[in-house]
Amino acid sequence: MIFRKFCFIFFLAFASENLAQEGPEIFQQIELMLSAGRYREVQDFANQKISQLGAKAGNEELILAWKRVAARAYQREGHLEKALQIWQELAGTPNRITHLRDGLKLIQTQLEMWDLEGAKQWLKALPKPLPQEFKDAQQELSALALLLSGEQGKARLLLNQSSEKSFTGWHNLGRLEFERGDNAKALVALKKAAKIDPDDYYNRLYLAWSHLRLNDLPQATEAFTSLAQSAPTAEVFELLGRLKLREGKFAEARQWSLNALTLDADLAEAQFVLATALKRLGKTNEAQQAFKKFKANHQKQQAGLKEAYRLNQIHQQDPSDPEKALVLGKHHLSDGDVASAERLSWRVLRKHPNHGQARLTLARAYRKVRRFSAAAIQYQIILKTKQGAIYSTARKELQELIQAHAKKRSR
Amino acid sequence: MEMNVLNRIPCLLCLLLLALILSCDRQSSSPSKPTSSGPSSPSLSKTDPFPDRAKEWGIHHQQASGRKERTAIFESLGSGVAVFDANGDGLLDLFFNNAATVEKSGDALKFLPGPGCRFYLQKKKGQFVDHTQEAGLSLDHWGTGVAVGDIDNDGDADLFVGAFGKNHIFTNQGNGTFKNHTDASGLKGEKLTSSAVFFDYDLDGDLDLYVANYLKFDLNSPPNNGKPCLQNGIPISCSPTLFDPEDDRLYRNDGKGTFEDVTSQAKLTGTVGGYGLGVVAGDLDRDGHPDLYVANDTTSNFLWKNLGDGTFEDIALFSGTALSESAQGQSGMGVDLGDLDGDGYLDIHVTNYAEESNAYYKSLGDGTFVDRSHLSGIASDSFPYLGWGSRIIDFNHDGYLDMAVANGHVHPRAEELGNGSDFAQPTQIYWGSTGGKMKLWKTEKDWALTVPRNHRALASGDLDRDGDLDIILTHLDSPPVILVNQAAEGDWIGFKLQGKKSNREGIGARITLKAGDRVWVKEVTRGGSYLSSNEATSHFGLGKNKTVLEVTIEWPSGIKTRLTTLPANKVYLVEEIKGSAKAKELFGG
Repeated sequence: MIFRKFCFIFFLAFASENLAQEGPEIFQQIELMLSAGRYREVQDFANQKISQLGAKAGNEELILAWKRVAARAYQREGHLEKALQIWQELAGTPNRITHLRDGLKLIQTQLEMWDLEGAKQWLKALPKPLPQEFKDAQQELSALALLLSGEQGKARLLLNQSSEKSFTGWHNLGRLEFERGDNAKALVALKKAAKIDPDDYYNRLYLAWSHLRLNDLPQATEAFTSLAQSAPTAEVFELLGRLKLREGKFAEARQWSLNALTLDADLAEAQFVLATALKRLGKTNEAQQAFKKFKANHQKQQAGLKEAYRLNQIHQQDPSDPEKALVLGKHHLSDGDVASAERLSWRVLRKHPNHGQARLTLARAYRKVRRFSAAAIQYQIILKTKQGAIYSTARKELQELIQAHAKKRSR
Repeated sequence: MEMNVLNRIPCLLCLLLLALILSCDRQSSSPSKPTSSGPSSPSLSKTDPFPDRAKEWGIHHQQASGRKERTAIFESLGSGVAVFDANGDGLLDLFFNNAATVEKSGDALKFLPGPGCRFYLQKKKGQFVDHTQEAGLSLDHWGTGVAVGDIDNDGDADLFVGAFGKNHIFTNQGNGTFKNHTDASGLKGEKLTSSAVFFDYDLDGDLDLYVANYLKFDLNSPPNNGKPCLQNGIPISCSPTLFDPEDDRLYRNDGKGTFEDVTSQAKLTGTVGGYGLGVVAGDLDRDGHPDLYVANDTTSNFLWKNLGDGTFEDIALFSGTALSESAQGQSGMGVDLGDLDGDGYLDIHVTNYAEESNAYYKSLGDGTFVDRSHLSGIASDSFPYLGWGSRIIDFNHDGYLDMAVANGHVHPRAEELGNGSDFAQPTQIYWGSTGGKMKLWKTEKDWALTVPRNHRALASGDLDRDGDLDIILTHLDSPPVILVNQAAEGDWIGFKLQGKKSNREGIGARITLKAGDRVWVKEVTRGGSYLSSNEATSHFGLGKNKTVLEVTIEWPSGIKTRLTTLPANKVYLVEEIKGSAKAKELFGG
């Protein structure tokens, strides 16, 4: 969410500008290939171009342009380390920034790899004042760095100054206010974001949810119903169930929670809505069964959180110990907190790039959030660098991934 | 789409949640300090409607609760206060439990003497004298909660004094002096007790005792190898989740003030979680047997349904009172009962941690509840604050029950934890209106209510005998605060009960009152809130009703007493008599 609008607008302009010399068809073709997920082809094409152009003098600018294309392709594929390497080559160092646009892209990649210190160092080094065209991007990246560091207060101040065109800024501010429980302010920010992009799923979801929290039931109903039509997800159905409970429409609440559970049978909140609806419908036995099911799930979640807290403290007392970080990361992965698993894996890999277990955890995290190409990259790195049991595991999981992907395509 | 970014969308949410729940267990709120005007805010906008009279009235002792950095969880609990007439002179006296200090000794922790508990006798209206030693209530321990009840039915109020360590029972000698009854009381164990409540669970006419315990903290082996936990690199106290919960206890009174631990017999065991902090007793399903509601930190709350055969069953989950509306276990701190929407059934108000709304569970009358936290209007305004003590009272006498909430964070360095939250937080009053609608009172900056403090306990009683209920607050470090109610404008009535077959104070009796076209229902209790005990007199705001047409008192014994046509603005003494009775005026008018 944070990256999307920024990246999209930024790269579109970037590519067209630099590839103009090659003709507009090539630019269009590359965009199409990237949209189709043909990242490897773009990478090969770009690398080929770079070697061809490298032999001739006066092609420096074009070489840079093709390097950017390659970096984009690597980044979209999920080969972040490779992308980062190119952006670093193009952007220079914090002390001597050669290309500002590339510097911003570098920061973005660092944030995606959870390298908050690196990103902050670069953000600090950006020239002041920054040319107008980069200001929005810089502000969004700064706010994101603060958010990811847990500095919500500072992030909030920055996001409040977002430009009228910044979907990312307003959306993230809305999310932040929502998390703080200031639903009225969340609504204002999310509405501003909706003016820029009325179709964004998460913006619509939190907008509807803010209405629900503010007890504005007609508005919440309208927003959720429309969302359920265009994006029928388990969470939308569960929230609709919750809304219907508040309205006293228990049969509808039951139906929405059942819809949610069809999509995600383990969604504890939906099990709770279902049990409550059944109870209010007078179906006591069924309600008790549903509560029992919910309770087992809930207790498992609680135990998971408890263990996560314990492991987190062990990790925090010695943050440089890769094994402690990884134990916590693996726990998060099993507990469904994929973002944290990803963060901790990257933390280990930054200092120990050959840490096989960290790569494996990262691959599994990406797989869990359906970033299949990024997961495949990590498996492939393991296969190139490791032997023994971890090699076999990575090979097996990569094969499963490819088979699942192939099946999906054949359907 | 660029970079599979949709996959990352939940990451921000996860991260925020993670920051809130895991690495930042005791994360500070980022309060926007919401304010809103009340529907029936008193017109006394210029002068402070709840001025602090503690110092002026002679209440000035220092409260203690460990070290300033408070990196051991029990240092954040604070201590409670009891409001009761100890010597029977008609004026309310105050007992303040008090914690102590602690120091590190290697990896272990060691208690050091604190300032000690204080007992203040109210000599005349608004004049309190420290009577601790004379009363025999000198206790220099790590005090926590306190409960009051006439355990031997001799007509005076006795004291349970909770602690991290040995709990105490003091029996009143009838003249405001007390005898240490602990060793003969039957109370056992040295645990980390929080709140306690006296109630007659077996309806045998004497008061039994429920003691809520918090968690197992071994001073010789503190968690995390004796190191503070960390949040964003800042040392904080470790979350309860690093500890095993401590089981609560139920003690049965043999009628003479000696107690037997009947926890297992009563089947009050076998639950998961249960870091008990607040407890209240009341007949929540109106089956004639008093139930228990326990507010638990970080886990599901308990609703112990009294099955009437000496055993209990936790029905919190089925009843709809265990979790938040979004199926999350919250950090319950304080709890109180009251018929907030005027339908005749007791509703539940639970205070929770910062970034969790306080909960309002509306009773459906059959022992089940619906979460009305959002619908009532308390959710958003309570969200940024960390609530502790809570009372449901008609403070302004408009006939609708209001809520008072004591707030304060647990982490002294809350301001540095990333959200711009404060350690010290204001007290809140939510004004009630028709149908249980609540609205936060917009208070002026210089009012005593608004002053941010590290509040913990909140108790109530008519200290100045002017007919309205005042608020007594404790904090972690500074002297207590007495907020004297000058906001009441309507008419009122009060009842002090005297049981014969039932327990002496009529604890658990249900009072139904008719005036004008309204009906009010209340149960007699001293419990509720957090670590505290309140005046036992039942107090009703009447709006503009000058006369109460009919009063029915249903005693725990089953006896019903009926009173008719009582002038308002008085407190009446009512004895347990079957049928029609006459009430004796105590004061007011």
